[in-house]
Amino acid sequence: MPKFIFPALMVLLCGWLPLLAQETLPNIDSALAVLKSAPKDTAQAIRYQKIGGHYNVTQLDSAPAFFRKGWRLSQELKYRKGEWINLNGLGNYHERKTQYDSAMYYYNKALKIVEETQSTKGFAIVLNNVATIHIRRGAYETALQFMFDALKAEEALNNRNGIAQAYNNIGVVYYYTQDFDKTTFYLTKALEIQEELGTYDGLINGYNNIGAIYIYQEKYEEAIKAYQKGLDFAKKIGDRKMEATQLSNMALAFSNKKDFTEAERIFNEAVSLRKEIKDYNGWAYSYQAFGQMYLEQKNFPKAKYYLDEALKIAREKGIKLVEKESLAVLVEYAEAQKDYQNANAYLYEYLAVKDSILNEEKTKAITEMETKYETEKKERDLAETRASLAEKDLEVKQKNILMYGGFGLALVLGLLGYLFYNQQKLKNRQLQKEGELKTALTRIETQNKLQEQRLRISRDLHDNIGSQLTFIISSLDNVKYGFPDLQEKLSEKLSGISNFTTQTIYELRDTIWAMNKNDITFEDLQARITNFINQAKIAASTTQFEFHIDHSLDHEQKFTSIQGMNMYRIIQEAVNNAIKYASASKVQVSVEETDEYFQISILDDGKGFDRESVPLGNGLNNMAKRARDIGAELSVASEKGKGTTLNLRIPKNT
Amino acid sequence: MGLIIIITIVLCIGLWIVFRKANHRIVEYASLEHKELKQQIATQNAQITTRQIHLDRYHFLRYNLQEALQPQPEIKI
Repeated sequence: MPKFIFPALMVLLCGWLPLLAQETLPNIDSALAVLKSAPKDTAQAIRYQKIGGHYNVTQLDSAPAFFRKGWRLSQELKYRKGEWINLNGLGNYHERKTQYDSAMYYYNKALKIVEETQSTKGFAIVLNNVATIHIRRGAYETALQFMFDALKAEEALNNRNGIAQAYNNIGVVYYYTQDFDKTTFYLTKALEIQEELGTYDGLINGYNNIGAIYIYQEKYEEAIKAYQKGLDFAKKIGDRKMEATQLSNMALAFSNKKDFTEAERIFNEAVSLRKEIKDYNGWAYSYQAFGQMYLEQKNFPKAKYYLDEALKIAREKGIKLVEKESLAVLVEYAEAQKDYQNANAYLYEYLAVKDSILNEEKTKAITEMETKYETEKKERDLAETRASLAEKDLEVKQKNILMYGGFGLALVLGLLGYLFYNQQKLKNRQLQKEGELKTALTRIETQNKLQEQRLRISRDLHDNIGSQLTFIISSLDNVKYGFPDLQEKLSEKLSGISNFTTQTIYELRDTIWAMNKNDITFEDLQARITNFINQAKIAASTTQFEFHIDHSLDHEQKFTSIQGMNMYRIIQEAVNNAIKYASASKVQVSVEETDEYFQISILDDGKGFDRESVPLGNGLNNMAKRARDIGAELSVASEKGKGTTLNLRIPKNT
Repeated sequence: MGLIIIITIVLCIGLWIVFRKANHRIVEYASLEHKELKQQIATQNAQITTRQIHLDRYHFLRYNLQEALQPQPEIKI
């Protein structure tokens, strides 16, 4: 019976492993490309886990790097799910490497996170894996505890599929502990849920396995029921091969039950089905199994018939394994018949087939090894190529970083320079403007101070010198009137001094007037000249005075105070000379304007003088000097008995 | 790469903002200075103008000079 248990174990493990294994990705290169370009988010953490899972199956040593990256990224993002799934993946990796302590370390870390986050699903998955480690270590009791915890978690989630898997796993643990009742109980529960969920895949094998265990336990009725269920599902999904298998197994169960009639009926049904579907392997195997069964029952003719049939089909179709087994049973048959010659012949044939199988197996093993070597070599080459590509990629990346970094730095420095330059320019502009304003302020302050100074001097002149001169005049008048007996000459002298002083006061006032004006308009000048002429009229009543001004002359024409004062003084001096020295009866003052200059003419009809014989006096020299000072031109024309003409030309651009 | 570009852009924008603020401060400070100077010039101008108006009004033959001389206490000679 143990031969029935072996396939059961295989199938049970197959049903169990998916919980441990990772899914492989159909296109790992595109997954890696996505991983490379995708942003670092939670989806990326899951990608790391999936790729790690793929490598856990295909290329174990590449797997942990991805899980670790996924774990670190999840830690950075505080993505707890990402943390536990990657830790779970690392646990899977170490489990596959049979490093159970390390596996347990990562599973426990993952378990801690799922407990903290109260992830029931995670709890179920990780608990299941922890239980697996305990199974591997032979700690079945502990494994069972974890399995039941996982079952509770699945029940809390009401995840029927998960519950079915948990039942399946618990059944497997019981299988390991040789508790077949519990094994069949939990496996049946798992199969019932799968049936309820409509996931028929694996159901037939599941019931087949349960049947095998029942046969091992010699519970034939239960075994037949299990096979019947398997048969029903095979019919349901139209799997005729499995239908034949179930029938064949059922026939064996009936045979074990000593119900040979039913066994033969079902067996024939199975065989006809196999013929129909041309399942030569199953057909030959069934004949061989029945031959063996009839041999055990010592029904030699039937045993011989079925064994010969099995051998025939096996040889025709080259099914070496069935051929070998059939020959082995035929050896037993010949021995049982005490036909040692045939037994020997069958034995030789058996050994020949066995050797042939061994050779085939060896050849196959060598071919497999070669294929494996080639595959590994290709994988190594591929890995090297990838490493080389990664290295080149890294180099390019470094170059790009340097280039972009350099460019960025240059840009920043350039901008910095430009900004500094701009700032300095702005500062200079502001400083220049400030300088201009300061200069203007200084100039105007100086002007102001100068004006104030002039005023102060004017005030001093007026208040001090003016009053002193007035005092002198007053004193002279007092002397004159206080002493009526004074000699006439002395009295005249005093009068002269008094007049001179009065004149000095006038001149002082004129000086102050000119000094306090920045510029003098022609109107001002005209007023002063008129005033002077009027005074002269009073002083010299016998002389006739005329004052003409060109009407076209601009009255707003401005002269500097110096120009104005000197022009006035020259006129004053000329008129005085005409009265004092020329004894003129008529003095004419006229002002005209041409395009280039102003001309002031003073004419008298006095006695005149000869310029060649009479040297110029102080008065004329002073006039000439004043004219030079203001850039004007003075010309004197005189002739004895014909009066004097004096022309003063003041250029306009001076 | 992306990080470099981001850092560069951030640095450029940062520098631009810093200098913009600094320039703004310079202009603001200079404006205050200029305003102050202009005010001083205006004061001086006003003094000169006032004095000149009074001097122009003065008639030497009829008034004493003293009447034309406006006190200017802010000018220190």
